[in-house]
Formats: sequence, C-alpha cells, structure tokens
Amino acid sequence: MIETLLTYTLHGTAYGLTLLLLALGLSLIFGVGNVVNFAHGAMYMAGAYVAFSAYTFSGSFVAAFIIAVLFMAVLGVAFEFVLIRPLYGEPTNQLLMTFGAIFIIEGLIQNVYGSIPRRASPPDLIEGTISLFGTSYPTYRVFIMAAAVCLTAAVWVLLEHTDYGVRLRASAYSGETVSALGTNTDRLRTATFAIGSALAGIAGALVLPLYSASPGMGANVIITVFIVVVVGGLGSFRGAVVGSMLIGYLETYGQLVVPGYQALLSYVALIVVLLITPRGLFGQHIKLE
Amino acid sequence: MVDNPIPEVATARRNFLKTAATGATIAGFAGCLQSGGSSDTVRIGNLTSRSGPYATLGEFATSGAEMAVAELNENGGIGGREVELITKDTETSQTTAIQRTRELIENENAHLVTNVISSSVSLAVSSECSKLGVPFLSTINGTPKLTGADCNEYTFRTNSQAPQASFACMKYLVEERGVESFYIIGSDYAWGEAVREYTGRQLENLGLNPDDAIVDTELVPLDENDYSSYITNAMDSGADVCWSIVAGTPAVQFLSQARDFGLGEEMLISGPTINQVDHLRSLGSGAEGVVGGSRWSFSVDKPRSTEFTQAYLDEHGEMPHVFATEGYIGVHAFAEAVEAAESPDPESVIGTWPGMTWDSIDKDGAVMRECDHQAMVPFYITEVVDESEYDGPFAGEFEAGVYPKVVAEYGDEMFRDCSATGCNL
Repeated sequence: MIETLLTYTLHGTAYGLTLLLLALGLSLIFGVGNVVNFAHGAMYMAGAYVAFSAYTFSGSFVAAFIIAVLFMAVLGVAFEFVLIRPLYGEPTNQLLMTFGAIFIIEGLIQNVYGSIPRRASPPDLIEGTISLFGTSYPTYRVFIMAAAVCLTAAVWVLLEHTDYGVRLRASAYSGETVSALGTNTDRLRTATFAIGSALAGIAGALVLPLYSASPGMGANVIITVFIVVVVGGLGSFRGAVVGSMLIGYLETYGQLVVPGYQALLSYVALIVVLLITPRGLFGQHIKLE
Repeated sequence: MVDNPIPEVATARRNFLKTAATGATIAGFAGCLQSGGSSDTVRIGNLTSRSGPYATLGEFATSGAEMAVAELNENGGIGGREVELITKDTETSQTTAIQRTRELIENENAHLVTNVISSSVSLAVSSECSKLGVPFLSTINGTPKLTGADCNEYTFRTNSQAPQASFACMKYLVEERGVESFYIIGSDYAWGEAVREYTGRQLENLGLNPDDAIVDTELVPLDENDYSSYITNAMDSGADVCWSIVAGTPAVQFLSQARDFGLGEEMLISGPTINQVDHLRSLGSGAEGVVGGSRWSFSVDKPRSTEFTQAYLDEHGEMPHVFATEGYIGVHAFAEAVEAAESPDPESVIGTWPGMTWDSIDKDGAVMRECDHQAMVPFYITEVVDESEYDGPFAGEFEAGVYPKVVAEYGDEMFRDCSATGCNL
C-alpha cells in the first residue's frame, strides 16, 4: 500500500509539474494584459510539433528543444503583435480571437502533419529507469520534473528580482499607472507573450517523447490548465503553483479512490473554489480597464 | 455613395438576379438528372472519414480502394464496365454520413457504399442503405451488430470483427504461450468494451475462469495522455499478460510509456490490434516483444498479398496500413460479386453475393457466408521483432526497423455459428 501511494505521489508530482509549466505561461499572460489566452493549448501543441520536426531534421533532442523554444517565443511575439494588440480594451473580442486562433493553429498542424501521432526519443542519458525512494521510476519523467522545477524557479526569480518582473507585477494592478511612470507597456506585454508562449513550447517539447504529438493534444490539456489557473487564481504565481499541484494530485490519487471518475474531481474543485472564493485561492482583484 | 440607386439600374439588377437564379436552379436540377454517369459504369461510393480525428485512417482506406479501382480499370473494368470511385466525407458523424449516403445513392447513383471508418457510423449507414436498396460493404467496421442483430440483406462485410480478434488472441496466448492471468487496460468506449466482453467469453471457452484469469480491468478515457498509473498497476498485479485494448494515438502513448517503465520486462504486452504499422513507425524498437492481433500485415507471406504490398509500396512509398488493404480487398470482393451477377444492379448483386466464394489477397476460396453476409477471412497474430530476427517478406524495407512477424494464423473456426449471431436473414 505504501509503495502504491509512493508511486502515485510520483505520478501526481510529474503530472502537476507539467500542468504548472502551462499554467505559468497562461497566468503571466493574463497578469500583464488581462488576456485570457485560449490558444495556449494550441501553443503547447505547436511546441511539440516544432520540436518533432526539429528532431527529425537534426537528430538531436537538445537541438530540437532549443529550436522549439525559440520558435515559440517568436510565434508568441507575432501572435501578440498581429492578433492581440489591436484588441486591447475589447476583452470579449480578444477572447474570441484567441479562441479562433486555436482553429487556425490546429488546422495548419493537421494539414502539415496529418493525424498520426509523432514521437521523438530523448537522449540515451535520460532514458531507462532510476531508483527513487526505493522504487524504480522512468528517468525521463524525473528529468521533466527537475526541468519544471528549475523553470518555475527561473520564472520566480524573473518576477521577484528583475526590473522586468517588477513592472510586470505592477501592470497586473494598474497598467495605466505603470505606463504613466515610463514603462512601455506594449513592449512589456509582447515580451510576456513571448515568455508565456515559450513556456508552453517548452512543455510541448518536453512531453513529445512521453505523450507524442497528436492533433488533439491542445484541446485535451487546455481545459485542465484553465481549471488550474481558475482554482489557483488568474495572474498569480503562487496560485499557478498551488493550483497545478493540487489538480495534479487530485486527479492522480482520484484514480485510486474513484477510478474512472478522477476527471470529475477537478471540476468539483473548480465549482467549490468558484463558490467560496471566486478569484481563486490566491487570485487578485481583476482590474478591467 | 448613393442611397437609392436610380430606378433603371435597380430594375436591371433585379432582372439579372432573377435570370441568374433561375439559370442556376435549372443547372442544379440538370446536374441531378445528368450526374451518375453512363449506365455502363459501376459506381462505388467511398464514404469515409476525410476530416477530423479519423482523417488519416480514411486516407488509408481510400488509397486502398483507389488502387483496386485503378487495377480493375486497367484490366477492362468489371465485365467490360468501367469502375468509378466517388469519395465523400462522413466527418465521422452519423447525421452527416446518412446525408452523404443519400447523396451517393440518389444523386450519384452509386451501386455500393463502403469504407466507413467508425463502427457507430457504419450502423447508421448500413440501415440507410438498406432503406434505399443499395448494398453497404463494411471493410473495416468491427462491431458484431452489423452482421448480427442489426443485419439486413443489403449489408455485407469483408473484415473480421471484435469477437474474432479476442478469440484468436486469447487462443494463441493461452494455448501457445501458456499464459493464465491477464491485466486489462482498455479505451473506454464501445470498441474497448466489446473486446473486453468477448475476451471474457473466450477465456471461458478455453477452460479458464474469467474471474480468476482477469486480475483487474481498467478502462481509460479516450483523451487520456498519461498511462503511468495504469502501467504501474499492471506491473504490480503479477499477471502474465497486459492485455491492452488500445489503438491509434492511445496505443502509441501507452506503448511508449510502458517501455519507459519497463512493463515489457515484467509481463507480456498484447492487444487485439496493437502491432499496426502506424504504431510501429512512431515507436520503433520501443515496440519489440509486443504480441498482438492483426487482420492483415505486410509480413504475411502469401503471393497475392506480397504482390499487393509491393504495388502499394511502389505507388505510395510506404507500407500499407491494414485499412488500406481492407479497402482494396473490399472493392475487389464487390467486383467479383458484380461479375458473378453480370450486373451492378443492387438486386442482382444481393442475390448473388451471399454464399459466393472468391480468392482474396490472403485466402483462396474465401466465403461470403450466407446466413449473415460475413466473409470468412483469416486473422493473424504477430510479434514485433528486430530486423535481425525477421525472416518474412520486405525485410530491410520498413523504416521502423522492427517487424510484425506472423506467429499464428486463424481461420473459419474464429467465427460464431450462424445461430449465435442474432441475425435472421
């Protein structure tokens, strides 16, 4: 029993940390521009496919990873500049735009790659299993967990200890004031979109060996990620961390307790949180300008 | 910009629109009357998934049917009649498929509707074809109902069903590999459920008690990406076999994750349709050791089968997926029925087809059984081996680097007795 619990804890941690990478990007993007980016799941998917192509081309997983991240950052900039920027101040239209972008991105991917799942193999160094707390666990999953933790820490450092981070956090409260104080809020938002999309791309590239790239992967994950950020609180770093680990463990342990109905638990959590504290566990008051 | 165009312009415009509309309507009706081609063409309705999640599968099925039609036309058609393949998209939806069936039959005068991918869609199309009096041929659909409780005189099937896959695989695993216990992981929808049910029944036939032999069953949502807990549960169960009722993306995800955890080292991984070329392409050596069922494989060493595979390889540059082969087999089977009936007319065909025998690519004298219109076709068990251990056809030509080696073949004994099908034709 203990061993099973331990194994499930590892599963839940791995899952939660993958969700975290996506939740962070989504929350950052919302925090700075009040943009609810429905296309975030499609970005994740694009990251996976770009990594796959880069891997097929170069034969190196590391190269594929770097290319995917850079590509997604650029895509994020283009996306914000062309599609989102014209619509600041029109939240409904912006929402619809990001929703529509999903169909464009998914359609393009399906046209280019078809519907067969695409996979890449990680470098031999991180294949196989590793002994962890007395049980053997796939090395690659451990690697993903470690990578996610490092990236989360990097984002935290960015938010707390850099100039950019200060302005970003300030914008979440009042973009107007920040702008009046001399920040180019346009550039701030674009940069944040780049970072958020890059994070989504990283998540996609990381899961390529694990889940494979498939046409449904964006749609699959986006609902859960939204549940995470709503439960944790849109725009909150702490909320993203707590929310993703909570949902991760809930759905994983849920398989033990209510097998077959574990997905339901996330929705229950969502409903409970919305009823009791609508801004989420760590949410800030949303300022609509 | 003028608000009200001058009256003469407005009238002229109105007249133009009226004329144009009338012209278009007439042209539309003319299309209805004219299309359907000459009365000397045999028209096959390729009603398959061209969009959505099954689009690639629909592509495979279409490529096989197209190849068969081209071959027939190169050899003078069917009894001198040219063959035409008309493709329409089911969008993997019952409602759309029913509409397209009507279009194919009423507008295009199709003599056959075939190549539907989804089992649930096939039931709807089969029923519609029966209402409209045109044969429906299942080339791919595994639901036993098509030639069982929902059978009708216009519906035929050239592929084997979920019960046969369970029968053959269980028989092989128990009798040839001596396994006694199973851990079942299955996709949670109609197909997964059906295979699971027949697995239990087949274990009983083989003398095992399913309650003892099946250690546990876990049904996994179709959109689940992460199989880690199911895999670790299977490994902890101590069962001999992990019976994995998965296909497509779930199969690739499951097998790659299973390899990460080392599942294959603890127990035998098997599944009713797990060793397909598209899975193997994604997994490569990660699929080694998996033993599974297959309705056909390029590794089947029979002359007409390898001939077909070579021709497909030459044309498409890749190994045919089993759906492509099934599309091909279906068109040729129908061609035989039309030749025997000496007419593509539905009433003649449905009179001749039941009980007919023909030489399919992997069976001499395959029978289209009279009682339920199910063709008695073979089923294979394959084991994924490294290139060095493979001695079948096309060695060195499959880019995956691993090969589904045929280890067993089953025939007519897999099929239920006429009395057990629930079909009363």
